[in-house]
Amino acid sequence: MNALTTHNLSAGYQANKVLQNISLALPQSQATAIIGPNGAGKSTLLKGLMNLLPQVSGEVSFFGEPLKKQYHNIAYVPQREEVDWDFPICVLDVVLMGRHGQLKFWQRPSKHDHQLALQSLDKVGMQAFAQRQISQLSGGQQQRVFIARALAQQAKLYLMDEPFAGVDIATEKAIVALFKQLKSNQQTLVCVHHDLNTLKDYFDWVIMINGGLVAYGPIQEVLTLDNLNKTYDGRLPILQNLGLVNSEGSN
Amino acid sequence: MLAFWQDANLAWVLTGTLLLGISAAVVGGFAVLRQRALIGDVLAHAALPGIMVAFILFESKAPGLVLISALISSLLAYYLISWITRVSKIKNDAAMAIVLSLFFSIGMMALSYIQTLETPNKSGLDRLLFGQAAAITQHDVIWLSWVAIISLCFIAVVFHKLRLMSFDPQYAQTLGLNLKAYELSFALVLVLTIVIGLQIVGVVLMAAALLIPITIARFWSQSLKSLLVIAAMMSVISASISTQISLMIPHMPTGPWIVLILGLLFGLSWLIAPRIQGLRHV
Repeated sequence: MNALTTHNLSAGYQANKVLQNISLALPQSQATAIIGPNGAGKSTLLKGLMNLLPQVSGEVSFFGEPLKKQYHNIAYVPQREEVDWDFPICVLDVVLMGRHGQLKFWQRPSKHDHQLALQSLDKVGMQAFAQRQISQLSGGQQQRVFIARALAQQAKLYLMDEPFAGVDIATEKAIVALFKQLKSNQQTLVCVHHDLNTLKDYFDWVIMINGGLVAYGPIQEVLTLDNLNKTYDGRLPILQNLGLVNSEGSN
Repeated sequence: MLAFWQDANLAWVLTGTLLLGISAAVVGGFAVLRQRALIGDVLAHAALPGIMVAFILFESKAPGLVLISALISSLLAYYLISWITRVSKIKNDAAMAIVLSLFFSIGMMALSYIQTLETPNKSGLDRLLFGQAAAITQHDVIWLSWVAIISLCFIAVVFHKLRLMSFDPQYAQTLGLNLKAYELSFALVLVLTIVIGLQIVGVVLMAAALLIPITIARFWSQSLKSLLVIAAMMSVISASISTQISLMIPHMPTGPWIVLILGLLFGLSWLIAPRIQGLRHV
């Protein structure tokens, strides 16, 4: 069964939607990157999947069921900039938020929930920071806390909005190691990604969008110069390192 | 010098200001953390037309009627703001300013109209503008107590969910939580607190009672639970002092003194807290 299927998904903030008619199907246990130029609708795609925007139309299903029945299987990691990092709360309490989908409105996190939260912090190398105020964290540490919060959900599918944006090398390495671990546990990843140079190393599949869907599939099959040109309107980022220019250029 | 315990009536006044101070500090604290600092101000102003229209219709100022009519008109304003921001490009702050002045004008018009009526018990309605703590009776305090208990219990029970929604509402939605239900119940508790505050500090100063305590507390603590406790303590201090002052000096209004003392506490904390924290770090 596919982890994620969409049919004619359109989404945006106003009636004139940024993202138009996305139909795709992603298998389980793969790491997929969403790439495209600025304003192409990469974050909008993730938010559209989670029904977080005022205007969403089309069909989305997770593991063969609609979102309403699958909340517990999906963990969303927003961009760091979307919250107030001066909010008075410690790291552990942020990670514990990941458990609240399973808790009724009057319920407090249990011992088991605390254990899961600490384990999740450990997986991103942040256990020593559990009692630290979030206002004291660096950008990379903030990102790791957000990922730990998603891990605490114990989901099957992780949707991450630019997890590598503005993080230090230590954090990038920690996240990449985590990706490998998640995949080996049969978990599925979908990330908005900017760096075409690391695309092949970190991901297996790619979704190329530019308002609409340009192509999607395994990286070896769809990451062609032709598709990249369509995605970036000919304004290609530096491609030397991708090993595509020579092979495609000779055609 | 006269002290409050020498007079039963004054004891009610003090109890009233204390109860209001505590619940306003805690409920208002959450509003500030949700970066909705001004929503309290809007809801307070928006309560006015409801109360006035209810008086015109029923010729009564019974606390229950005041509560329900204020609730309806404040919630109407609350949803009008979210509707305006949803269907137009008008930002939240502009929408709040529009709704605040619109509702307040209607309230003032109704109040002027009521002044021309022959109805005997119309006096006291204008008190809602600036509040009059000295007029608090035992009857009012019973209402106040209920509202304070309800508000504080609500905050205590759903504390974790409210904190989650204040910090990252979008993420809360991805967990499958019913954001709208929590929003509505929080708005209800906020309006309840505001309505009872109207009698004491009035429409105009209500925002201060909601906002200043938590901003003082932010000088002193980083954890949300202790922030709320400190905010409540600040309210208690200002309520006690201001009640005593308005008692000692004739014609001194309690409401403005509550706000003034909160302002002084704010200034003091601003000066002192960084030094004390500086000492701790050495």
